[in-house]
Amino acid sequence: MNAPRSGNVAERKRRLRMRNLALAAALLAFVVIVYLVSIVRMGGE
Amino acid sequence: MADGLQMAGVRNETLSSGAMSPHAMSLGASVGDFVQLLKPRVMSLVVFTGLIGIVAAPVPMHPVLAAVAILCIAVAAGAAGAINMWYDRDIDAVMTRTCARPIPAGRVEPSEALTFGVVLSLFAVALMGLAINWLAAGLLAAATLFYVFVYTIWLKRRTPQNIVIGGAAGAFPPMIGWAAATGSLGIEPIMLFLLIFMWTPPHFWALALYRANDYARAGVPMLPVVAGARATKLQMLVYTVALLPIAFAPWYLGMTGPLYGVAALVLGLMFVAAAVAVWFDAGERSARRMFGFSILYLFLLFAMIGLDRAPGLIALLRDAAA
Repeated sequence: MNAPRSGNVAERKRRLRMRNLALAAALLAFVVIVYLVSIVRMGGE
Repeated sequence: MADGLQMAGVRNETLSSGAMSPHAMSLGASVGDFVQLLKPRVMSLVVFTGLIGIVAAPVPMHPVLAAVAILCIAVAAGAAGAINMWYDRDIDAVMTRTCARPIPAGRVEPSEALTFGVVLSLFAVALMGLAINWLAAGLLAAATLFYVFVYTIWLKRRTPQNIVIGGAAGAFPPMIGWAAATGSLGIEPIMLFLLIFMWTPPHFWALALYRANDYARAGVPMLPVVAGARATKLQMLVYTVALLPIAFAPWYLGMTGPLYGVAALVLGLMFVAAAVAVWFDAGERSARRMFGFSILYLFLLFAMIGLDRAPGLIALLRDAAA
């Protein structure tokens, strides 16, 4: 009984970590987009 | 048939909202589950037609801004798909085609899916407005709201014309792309809208023909469920014939050259031939084929607009071939 439970906990942690990494990547992408759009806009396209 | 009509218009609360496996829920959703909520396969055609809307516009767009506009269209389309999955979780659970989706399979909580969809929709519209222009943002918001409120919530469970009227939501992307590039609208993007609008019913009815039992079980009054296969096949034929002159519009409006005109004629006749084959086929084989071909049809037609419009691209291809 303990083995599957600890397996679940590990899997749950792994999924949570992946979701956090995906969110961090999305936020980073957003920052890059805002930066690039600002450069293009300020450069008069 | 009667079952379909009886259940139409009534949200079937007796259907399970998905067998929530405690085991699956305790694990939490994976990143892939959230990607699945965005309906990536549907998104690809939406993104492509949006891109062609940008390419077809007479005003060149900065590549960075074009990429941002495409991203906004993709995110908004995916977000609308997530909200659709949230609302339709009861019928998704009883349909073979959709029962493995993240909510009915118990991998994502309904509230998580709704929040995900709403946040992404707001993000996409706001970014489109701030980075590109507010006309494109307004159209993007209109497409999302139309898909969620008019198609998903209002029409889908009430009328066999659900996909005819609701199909307008999927026809927005080229108009949004055009508006993103030019900041205005005209007859050309409206014709691209009409092209997808007229293509949608035969495309979806081909699927509904061989999934009629699924739709009937879920109480969705798709045309084959309510009116039967014969009437659906006739409607499909009428729509594919009506689509022929509309598909020519980009050529006779001067948007494209003869390359597109020839492609529209050949592909249009093939689409009509597919509808004729469905008419004569008592089984589902032709309907399956027509569904597959309908996707190829739209993809190739818009690819031809892109080829005809992309400045210097054909010359580049000629040089490469020489």
